[in-house]
Amino acid sequence: MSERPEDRNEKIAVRFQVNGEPTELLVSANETLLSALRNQLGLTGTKYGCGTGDCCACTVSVNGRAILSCLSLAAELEGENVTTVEGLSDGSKLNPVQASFAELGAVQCGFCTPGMIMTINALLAENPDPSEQEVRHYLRGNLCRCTGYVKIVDAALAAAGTMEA
Amino acid sequence: MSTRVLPEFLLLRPDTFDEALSLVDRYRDKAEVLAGGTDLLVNMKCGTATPSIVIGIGKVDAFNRIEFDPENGLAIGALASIRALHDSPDVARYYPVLRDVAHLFANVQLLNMGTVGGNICNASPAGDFIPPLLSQNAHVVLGSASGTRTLKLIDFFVGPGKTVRRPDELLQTITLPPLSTDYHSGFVRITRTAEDLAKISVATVFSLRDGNFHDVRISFGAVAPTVLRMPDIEAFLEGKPMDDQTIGEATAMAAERISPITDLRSTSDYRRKIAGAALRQSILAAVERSPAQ
Ligand SMILES: Cc1cc2nc3c(=O)[nH]c(=O)nc-3n(C[C@H](O)[C@H](O)[C@H](O)COP(=O)(O)OP(=O)(O)OC[C@H]3O[C@@H](n4cnc5c(N)ncnc54)[C@H](O)[C@@H]3O)c2cc1C
Ligand code: FES
Ligand code: FES
Repeated sequence: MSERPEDRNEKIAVRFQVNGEPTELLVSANETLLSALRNQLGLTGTKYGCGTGDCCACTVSVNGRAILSCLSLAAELEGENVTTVEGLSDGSKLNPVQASFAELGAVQCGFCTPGMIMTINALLAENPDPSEQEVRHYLRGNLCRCTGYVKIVDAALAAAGTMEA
Repeated sequence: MSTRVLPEFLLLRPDTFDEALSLVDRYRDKAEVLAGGTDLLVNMKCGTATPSIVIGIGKVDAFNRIEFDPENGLAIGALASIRALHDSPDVARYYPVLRDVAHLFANVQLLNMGTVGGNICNASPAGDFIPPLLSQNAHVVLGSASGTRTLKLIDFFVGPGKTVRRPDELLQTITLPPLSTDYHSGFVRITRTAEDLAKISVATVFSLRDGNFHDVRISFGAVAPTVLRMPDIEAFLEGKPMDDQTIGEATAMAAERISPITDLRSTSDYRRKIAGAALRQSILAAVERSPAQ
């Protein structure tokens, strides 16, 4: 462990899983997970909305839990298992949440969509059969400026019926 | 200010509690402790925190636990996540008001990331866990290279963002005495949107003896530089019947005992106007919850 303040720019090696792939990156201490995903790994599905925890567009899963990549340090993820929206489909076969978003027209501009889908995936893993109110409560932090949320909630409920346990 | 890029800092990641203590001892004011980071990293992006060194305590397992036993009550490790509290069956059964706070917390993502310890050390007068912890007579255990000390939580806070924690100390554990399962407890927070910090919050804990209030503890958030207990209202309620008239008289006292400010979330006037209503709601929520079985 290096402790000299002049070592602030020294890169830190992180080994973690990204969408099932063992991945090794050199990151700066101040690099967010969001930046590492987008800028180092080219995984631009995860969006930068606010950077301060207010919009949830940057939601990814770490060990199955939805977290905000804009407020996570990449260097803190050693050994963890990260899933982004790119990791959900099986080749060109969409996962049930993605498929019901497409089917029910829950996407307008699409900017909030990856965060919405990651959050709903986490919900359905915890609670495979949520009520509408439970969906709305779980999505309380995910902002959408286009849809008015109705179709997003519908898509979550429709996907609940088709998720594998 | 950029909310995209964090300023540069040196990141240190101790593996053990002793290593963490020796690092805070060595760097003191130069360093900030990083738990879930949901306050600290926002403050660093906005320039209100400018540490040259960040000590990430995420690997220190000793901090990451929630333990309950009927004799000693609840011990919440400083690094226990709000999620862990939310999912704990002991918390749901014996301290249901903490479960309420976790359930209402900002958003699911922040619930998964944030810690109860961070909420307390951040010392916001609007910190949601502070009123219910004060109403349950919580203590905090602070550790340093020279040993530990235990304080009442109420003595921990000195002002917005200010605590008596010395720069060489870490918050180690939050402890709550056992609360008999015949107690009632309720929490209310008034906000603009689910994610916003509270305009005002109230946590009420009491028991009822033959329909009369007993051992009442009321804490108000976001109405003064620190979260406040309300000893006058608590004393007023003691032994009085739990009815509309008593509750009405108690809520009328609330507005006079707070010193709210006007900030971006609300005005001083409005906070005074809703203080009584928030107290009433928290008492009614507590009455409605049947005590744990
Ligand atoms: C969009 C948004 C919404 C929010 N909504 C709410 C809300 O509704 N209610 C609410 O109460 N809060 C809210 N918060 C604030 C924040 O999420 C909470 O205060 C959270 O509990 C902080 O925990 P943390 O582990 O992330 O803290 P961190 O950011 O890691 O730490 C907070 C502070 O405590 C210090 N610290 C942490 N652990 C220790 C320790 N063991 N010893 C010594 N010092 C320590 C840190 O140095 C830092 O100064 C919100 C934040 C955001 C970004
Ligand atoms: S970009 Fe992370 S919450 Fe908005
Ligand atoms: S579809 Fe445009 S922000 Fe949600």
